[in-house]
Amino acid sequence: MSYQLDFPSLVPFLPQFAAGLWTTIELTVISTLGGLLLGTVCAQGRISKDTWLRTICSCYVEVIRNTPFIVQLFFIFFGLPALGFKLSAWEAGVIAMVINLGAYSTEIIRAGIDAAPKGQWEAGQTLGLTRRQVFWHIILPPAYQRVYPAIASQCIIVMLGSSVVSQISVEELTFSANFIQSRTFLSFESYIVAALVYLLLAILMRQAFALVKRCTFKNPSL
Amino acid sequence: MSLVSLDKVHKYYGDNHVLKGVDLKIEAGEVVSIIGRSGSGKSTLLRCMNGLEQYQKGGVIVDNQSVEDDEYKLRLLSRSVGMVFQSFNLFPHMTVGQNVMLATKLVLKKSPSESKKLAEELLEKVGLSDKFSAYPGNLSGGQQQRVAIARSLAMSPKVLLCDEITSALDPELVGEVLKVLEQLKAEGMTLILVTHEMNFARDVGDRVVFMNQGKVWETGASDEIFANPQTEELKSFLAAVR
Ligand SMILES: Nc1ncnc2c1ncn2[C@@H]1O[C@H](COP(=O)(O)OP(=O)(O)OP(=O)(O)O)[C@@H](O)[C@H]1O
Ligand SMILES: [Mg+2]
Repeated sequence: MSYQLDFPSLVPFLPQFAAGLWTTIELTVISTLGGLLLGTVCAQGRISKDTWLRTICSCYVEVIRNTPFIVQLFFIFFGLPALGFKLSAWEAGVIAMVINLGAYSTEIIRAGIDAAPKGQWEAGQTLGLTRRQVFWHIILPPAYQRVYPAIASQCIIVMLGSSVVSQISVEELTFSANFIQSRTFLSFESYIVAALVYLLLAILMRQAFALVKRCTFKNPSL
Repeated sequence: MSLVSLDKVHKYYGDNHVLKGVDLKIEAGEVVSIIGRSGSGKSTLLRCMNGLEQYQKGGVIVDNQSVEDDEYKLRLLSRSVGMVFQSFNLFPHMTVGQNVMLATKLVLKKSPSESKKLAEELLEKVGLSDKFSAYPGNLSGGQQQRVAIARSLAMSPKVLLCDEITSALDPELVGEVLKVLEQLKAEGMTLILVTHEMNFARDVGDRVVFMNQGKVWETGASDEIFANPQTEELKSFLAAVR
């Protein structure tokens, strides 16, 4: 039995692929920025002196890290409207991705914070900085530097995980591939194209992270 | 009123009674060396003077401010009390200049140009004017420690606490750091040094405090203490470190 790959028939659907790719990029950029911000704030919450804040942050992290992403997505898309929050599929997808990356990056960033020598806190304190200033100016930047590779990997996982939001009809790359294969019945070809595009995106993201690293961390490695 | 005054200070780590009623007064302009065996509570004593450690009984007053467990009060106190650590504790992601300027910008709210000018002056003073844009990770230990001193001085403290600041250095680098301390003494800075450098304590220090079993066991003028120790404990300590 032989299967003849037929890529030329996909050419008319390039605009659909491009639109899907663009949505995937959009989702990835927004959720990376939002997720890392959320993770940073929660990491600060997890080392707070306030017991309540610490508890809330660790509950959030544990709940998200111990449930499937697709369930989180359905919960936000189908569950929240029941509580009166109207969300488009795109909005629900972004929120789910931000919340998901937020939880994982909280743990990653916290590991970097925990690795800060106690003397760094003390040096900041004896210079008269507030605890918050010590955190943001002294502790956080080297913490990021320490765990940067793990952060980069997690962001790529989130980009790949964005394919799951096709399940609530967000028209990203996987959704486009589904759509095209249902029109053309060229399922093998459609998913080959999608897979190659994801692969390319992941490689580009690694390059981008390496570039950001070179421009941001100028000091000798820690 | 003494610049630093400790009144019957008791400090426990759990069940470990580390400071057992320390009385100590230090005047402005004095250079005081604190010596004693490992575990005798020297670091703890120093850290009680700037609130890095809390004590359970007694009182500590520095520059007319009571040292208490209160974040706001300790922040005010930190303008009077500088500290230099054994392990430098420079901020690795900031250049030397940024290390020195951080607190003047964030705490004293000086303008960037003012901060920069001050940082350049201080680095000049510790002999590192050419390292303004270098990162700590590219400096020798002696250079890093001098940056740390400049960083403390940027807050114009009234007293500088130094906890074994030459202990992590290669022997040939100790001298350059001690020279900076001598220079500070000449300018009238109050220095409280936990130190193993007995020669420095004798030649540069005004007074020696010998800590033993959580107490100020013996104290006196430097030359006196070294020439004529009174207690058996100090005699045997001095014999051991020589
Ligand atoms: N953070 C801490 N938690 C519990 N115990 C501590 C702590 N820091 C110090 N100690 C204990 O307090 C005692 C005094 O310690 P301290 O560090 O003040 O001694 P030191 O005189 O500075 O000794 P060294 O010369 O080794 O630096 C020791 O028994 C030490 O084990
Ligand atoms: Mg010590």
